[in-house]
Amino acid sequence: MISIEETDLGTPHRESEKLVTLTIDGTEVTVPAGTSVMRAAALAGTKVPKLCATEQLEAFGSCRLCLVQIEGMKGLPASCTTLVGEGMKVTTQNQKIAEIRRGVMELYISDHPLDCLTCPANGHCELQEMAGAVGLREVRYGYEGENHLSLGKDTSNPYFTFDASKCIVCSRCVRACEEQQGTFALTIQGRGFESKVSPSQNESFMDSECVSCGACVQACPTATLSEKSLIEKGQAEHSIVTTCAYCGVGCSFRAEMKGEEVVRMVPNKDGHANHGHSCVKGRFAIGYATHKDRILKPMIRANISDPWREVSWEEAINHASSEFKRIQAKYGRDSIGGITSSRCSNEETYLVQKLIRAGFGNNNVDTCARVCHSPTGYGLKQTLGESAGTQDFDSVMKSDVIFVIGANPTDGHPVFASQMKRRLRQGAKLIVADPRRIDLVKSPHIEASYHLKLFPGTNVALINSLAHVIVTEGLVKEDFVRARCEVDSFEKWRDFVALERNSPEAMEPVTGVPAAEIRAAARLYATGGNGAIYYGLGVTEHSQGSTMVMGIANLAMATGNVGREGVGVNPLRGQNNVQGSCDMGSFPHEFPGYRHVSDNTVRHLFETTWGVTLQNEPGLRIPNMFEAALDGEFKGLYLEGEDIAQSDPNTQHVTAALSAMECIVVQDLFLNETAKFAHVFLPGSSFLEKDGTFTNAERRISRVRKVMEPKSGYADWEITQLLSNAMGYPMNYKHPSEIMDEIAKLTPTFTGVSFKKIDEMGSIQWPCNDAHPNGTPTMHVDEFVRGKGRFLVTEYVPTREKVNAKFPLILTTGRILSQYNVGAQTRRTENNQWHDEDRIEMHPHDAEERGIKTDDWVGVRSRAGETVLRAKVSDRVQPGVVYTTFHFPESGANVITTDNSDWATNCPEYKVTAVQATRVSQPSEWQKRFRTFTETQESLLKAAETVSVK
Amino acid sequence: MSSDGPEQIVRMANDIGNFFRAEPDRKVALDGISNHINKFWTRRMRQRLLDYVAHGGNELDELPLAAVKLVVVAAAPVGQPATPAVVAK
Repeated sequence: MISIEETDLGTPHRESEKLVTLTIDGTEVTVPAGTSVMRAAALAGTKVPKLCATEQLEAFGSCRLCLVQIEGMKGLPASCTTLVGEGMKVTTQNQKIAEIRRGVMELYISDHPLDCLTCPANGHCELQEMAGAVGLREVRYGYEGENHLSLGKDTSNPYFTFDASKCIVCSRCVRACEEQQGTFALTIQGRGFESKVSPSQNESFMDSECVSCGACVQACPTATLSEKSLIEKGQAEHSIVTTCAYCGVGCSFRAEMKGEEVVRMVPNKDGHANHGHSCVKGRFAIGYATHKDRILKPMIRANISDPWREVSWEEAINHASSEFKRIQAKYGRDSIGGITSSRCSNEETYLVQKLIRAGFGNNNVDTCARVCHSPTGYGLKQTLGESAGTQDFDSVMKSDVIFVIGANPTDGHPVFASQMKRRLRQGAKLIVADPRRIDLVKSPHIEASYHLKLFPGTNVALINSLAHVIVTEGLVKEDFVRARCEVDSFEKWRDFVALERNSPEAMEPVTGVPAAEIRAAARLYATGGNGAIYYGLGVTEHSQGSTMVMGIANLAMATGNVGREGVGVNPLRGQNNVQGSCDMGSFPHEFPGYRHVSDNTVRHLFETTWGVTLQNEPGLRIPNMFEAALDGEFKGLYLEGEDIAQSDPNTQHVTAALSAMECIVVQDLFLNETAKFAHVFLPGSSFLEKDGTFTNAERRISRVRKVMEPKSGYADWEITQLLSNAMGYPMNYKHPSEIMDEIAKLTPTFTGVSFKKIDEMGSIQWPCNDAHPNGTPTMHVDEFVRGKGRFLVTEYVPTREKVNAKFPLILTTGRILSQYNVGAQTRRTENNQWHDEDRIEMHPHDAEERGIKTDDWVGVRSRAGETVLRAKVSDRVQPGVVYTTFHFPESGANVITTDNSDWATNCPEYKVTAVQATRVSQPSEWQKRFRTFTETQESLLKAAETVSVK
Repeated sequence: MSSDGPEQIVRMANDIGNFFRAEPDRKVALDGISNHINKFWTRRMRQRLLDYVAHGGNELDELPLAAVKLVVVAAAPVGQPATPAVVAK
């Protein structure tokens, strides 16, 4: 069911420069060509009755309720499938039409339960509405005939129910699954009276191919598909538009509320990033915000072996600040620092880096991007001049060739993947470069033209060989390069990639990709029309992560695929506000807006505004913090929303560093892995309690609006402000909008941004300033941000992480749709029903060699450590490669990842770890210690809660 | 392994050198390496690199070794006692 506050105009909006004027019931209306008569009528204020039509889906013309009379046309055409014509005269209501409509409704109601008063859709049901609209007063057929009223309910999905007795077989759900989601999990089985909605091969929803995106629930005009939360709680009474806190798509949602209780999250059809679509996480997995594990009171303890003690906010803040001051007095100014995360809003991140720079007096601030897209920031800044992607998501609809490198969008960016799949079904070509056969390679009505199944760690070898083909076969867009790029850097690069050692033939033994495939893929990308590259952590989380990003930018520039819609370099930023946390300068070397701390002019601007002298030296990155802690020089850490003990590589190294510190302050929702090493716990807020902004992968700044007051009593930004004041650096913001106003004042790419403007426009893509007052969907249009694009020579340097007899397999890591990153949020929801443990995926050959079957326990050992996971034998991975996810702390995926990292940014090389896998019968030593430590820490937490109850 | 101990510092410097090794213009390569170190490494890390070279450390590859001459550890950051600028010979 659509949102309580949205109006459904019946059929999709059409873009056209040509306008058509027609008359509907005597009223003139002008609409773009291609608009349906139904939609034109709705825009003119006339709601033509409908049941099978909905604005999110293409017209279907099956229910026959929307018939109209059009002068000069025979019969009574359906207004949903009839397009407007110049001078058309439409009558939407007369005696004949009214009789037909009543007749249609009589048929529907003759086979529908009459339990409106106890139905979950009561008051918000389109069938109910249509019965009223057509003036239905009786059903002349009676109710004694054959019907579907005794059909049962499918309650298998944890989030919604399918009540077949209420289904009117309008096919909206089937069409939503096809057009919006692209999974094609639903069909109409049978004909005529036997027609029914069938998930997959007449299976339950849970057993079918359904990915629980909720598009069918959204589309359903009756209570047939209803959210279980709606069934339980009843209809909402108001809604608030906010932004999802999961992935980097940044879907806009309407949180439908009863008071401060969320009834359901409904995707906002006016959402600029998601256009009314969603995935299982944002749509349904919000239960973590009110989970029993939430900690709502501040706590402190002297040592991590002590029980926690619940204290007042004043005591907690004073304790944290006095500890930080003590540590600085003893070990020096640089002995403390902070880490933000993408869970923080822009305003919250800005305040943390301001506290550290102005309050702590150093630049020891870093963010979660360190471990994911920091190479994107570095590489794109070097080549194009800006640390961000070049397009918006809608650009994909104008792409002719889509090249996905090291990304798995159907799992990591599902709503954008649905849009990409729509374009692919329209005929765009697909190239995938990935060691694994990701779902996108072959899915309903989509097949990649080329799947370049390269060996992990050989990205740069691949991109160089693709470039070799483009350069040596004369496929460079010479006029673009000459006009828009530094010619000398291009010529250097051209001469380099043309070398024989970079040819596909020479690189084939390195990458494992047949030379003929590389040649064909390169030709397709260079000559197939608009070529767009989308990439993810399979590019960045390597020792040559930054090099590969530069290689991608080189390829895009050489083929003229930058600076307009349909092309571009598109980093798929994984998290809701990782782009924002970078933009806000949560980096040891850069202020907000990506300006170096040594830049005297920029630093002076911040010093003047902040009223304090600032350090001009780069500070500690996260890995440097660990090393400095182990050296006894870094002793205090303030973390907001980041769980480094689970997310960072080489877990044992990280926990050793944490154990060496004297004051760790964790601001979070739960006792996460890092909090088990903390001395101060400050209860944070979920996105439902936040006011501020997030910036998604498109540089799109959207509002996150609180739907309930912070459960701990303070908003996250207020907590940082309290700490700052206690540290002696005054902050007096009254509202997050004031923080954004300050950001805008200090950051050239944000000067036009304000809460007011975001509210007016819905969202803004930075840069937003005098040059771009309405934001910038496509970057580098007339020139690159750095002026001329710069090519960089990208020599392939093999990783240090070598396989050998002892560690013969390569482990690579990734994500799954239903769980999100470290799982702190999704593990506390029903999403566990899809994925309740991390598994090691292994090719059948490798499994057979080792006597391993699916479900066996497998010891996975690397040079860094060992863990035990259950096996899943699958040919999605190639021989010699194993794969796992990292959503469950007890699986210890990062116990085995190493300290190898990107040469430029120290982004960890998560994607290449040499391992051996053997069948085992018990957990690893690390897992045994982890279990004991976790049990101890949980009991120490329980002690605090017990004292509090007393 | 400490990221600031000689072994790690040398590894990091060599990795940076490996990227710039393909740059045909030596001056551009040397500037690239030293600029990167100056911009992204902490004072402590840069000082340790200079100390490593000054004390005869010989595990650096040729290019990063040559670039060390351009690595700067200037006067202490504002707010701390000033020390004379230290530049590797």
